Amino acid sequence: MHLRRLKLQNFKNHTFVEFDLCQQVNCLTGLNGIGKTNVLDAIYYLSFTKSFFNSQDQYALQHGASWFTIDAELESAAGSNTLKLIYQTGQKKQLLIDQNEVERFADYIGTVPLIMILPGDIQLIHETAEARRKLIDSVIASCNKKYLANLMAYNKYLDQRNKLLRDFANGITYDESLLSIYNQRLHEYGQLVFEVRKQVLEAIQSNFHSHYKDISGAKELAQLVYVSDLHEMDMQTWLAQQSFTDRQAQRTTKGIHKDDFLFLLDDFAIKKYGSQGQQKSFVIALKLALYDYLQAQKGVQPLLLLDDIFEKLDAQRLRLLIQRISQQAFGQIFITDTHQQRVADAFASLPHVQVKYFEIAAFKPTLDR
Amino acid sequence: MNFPSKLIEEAVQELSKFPGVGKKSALRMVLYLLKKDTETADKLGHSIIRLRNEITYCTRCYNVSDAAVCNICSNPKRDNQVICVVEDLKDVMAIENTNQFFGTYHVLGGLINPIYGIGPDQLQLESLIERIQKEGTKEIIMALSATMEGDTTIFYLSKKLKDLDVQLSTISKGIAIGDELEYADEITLGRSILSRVPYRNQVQSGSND
Ligand SMILES: Nc1ncnc2c1ncn2[C@@H]1O[C@H](COP(=O)(O)OP(=O)(O)OP(=O)(O)O)[C@@H](O)[C@H]1O
Ligand SMILES: [Mg+2]
Ligand SMILES: [Zn+2]
Repeated sequence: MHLRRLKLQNFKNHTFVEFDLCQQVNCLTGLNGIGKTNVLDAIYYLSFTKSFFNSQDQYALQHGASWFTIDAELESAAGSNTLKLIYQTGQKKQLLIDQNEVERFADYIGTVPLIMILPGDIQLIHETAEARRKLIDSVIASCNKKYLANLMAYNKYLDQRNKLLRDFANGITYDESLLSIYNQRLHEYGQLVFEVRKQVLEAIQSNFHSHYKDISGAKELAQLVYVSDLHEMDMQTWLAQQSFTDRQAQRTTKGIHKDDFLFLLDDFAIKKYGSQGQQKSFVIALKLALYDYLQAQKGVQPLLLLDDIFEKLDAQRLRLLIQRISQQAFGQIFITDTHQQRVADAFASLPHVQVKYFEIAAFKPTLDR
Repeated sequence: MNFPSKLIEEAVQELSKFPGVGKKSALRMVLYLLKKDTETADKLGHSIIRLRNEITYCTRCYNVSDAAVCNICSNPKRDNQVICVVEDLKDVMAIENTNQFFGTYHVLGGLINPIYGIGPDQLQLESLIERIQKEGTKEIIMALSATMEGDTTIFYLSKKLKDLDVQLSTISKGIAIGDELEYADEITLGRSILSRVPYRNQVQSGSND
């Protein structure tokens, strides 16, 4: 699976730009602030129907414009399809496959599976659990439609239950029957989400270990631990047991919405004890393990987006990535860098890897090498 | 928007409160009314005032009605043993259009939705339970939309009715999750009423695979 053509109009700083992409490595170069990461974000849009950086579409709209579009041609086992994402101020965002509007974005997610590695990834370690859940959920959602539907249902019932708890505290008569309905639904959907998260964490563990070892060259044991209230007892038991606490707190205090993924090095939290380098290796290993998982589930090689890796990765980590690229471990790849020569040098010894360069400054692709 | 007249501004303000009507459309309506003779506006104004002040609801099924008991409830040909529970008037109209249902209705006036401040007390649920007890109803068909709010309301009713000797069924077939009854076509809706299924408490999306 790969993108053949990509065209952005009024997307962030790109008024009009078109790329005739190659099937392997596509390298976007140009000065700082020229819009390289923005192109990657446009590709992310095609995968997840929203920006990686900001969930509000208006931020992707070029200053002063009233609409933006992202066009691409997708080549896959199913043949060739055109994708078109349209955003207009004040209107519902639209996604068209071969001119046909996609009615529910949730059904579309996973059509263009993708993993993106960014300089800011290290923040995953330091941010709240929500950021870690979002990453894992986005990967699972790309290969398991029911998971996304169940998770969305859980969240809706959760909002209703929390509102009900607030209502009870604010003088509305306590209604045991109604509360028990929300308990039941949270139990059913929560348990389904829990089972999948557990499975996925188990499934990626061994690849994660080996990627970490390869990248860091060190012997520490890197571990991902799935932390969930549901390990201890099921959701229904929690809800029954926590009923008093929840009513006091006026919200649901236990459940999969509190899940977290602990990042450990030799049993210690990497957040507190890991060096910068170890942290960097950790998140890259995680993303690569998620790539492997996605690939295994979908049976195709997802797109791999590498933002600024030459800037941010040291020689050893870079060598490993390039080595894997040369072994065709990945499908289509997008790399951004400020210096075309630096990328060219890195691929110089790999003549069998097809690399196409796009210098963004000129707003026109340059020739293949 | 800047208006040359306070009167126009006020009218636009009020008209734009309608669902789906923006300031621009409201202004178009106002200009239309100004072009027409005064009688047009008078008629419209009176009908709106009467609508709101004189509307009454059937004391039995809570459907909109011009009399104390509505046409459907007072029709001797309708089967009083079967009650179709719906959210609002639109659903009654949609189901009547199918010509496939010959029982009576009970209009809840909404669905349970705490976020919107709608609890069981705001709906005609208590009156339904009393009615079933009083009339010895045989079957309740819950024709509520397959949304989370519909699911919650049906589930709630099933809990409240579990000790009564009344059969509960739903019209889930053929109507997709999230679809509103009013948008289902007549044939699908008619078919789903005929092929209604006994209510089983179940999650909509189901197991992982
Ligand atoms: N909505 C928008 N409209 C117009 N320009 C925008 C918009 N959003 C972002 N930009 C511009 O895009 C530029 C940043 O683009 P981007 O982050 O893609 O740069 P980059 O090439 O990746 O740079 P670096 O090499 O520093 O990472 C900034 O100049 C910013 O002002
Ligand atoms: Mg950048
Ligand atoms: Zn009536």
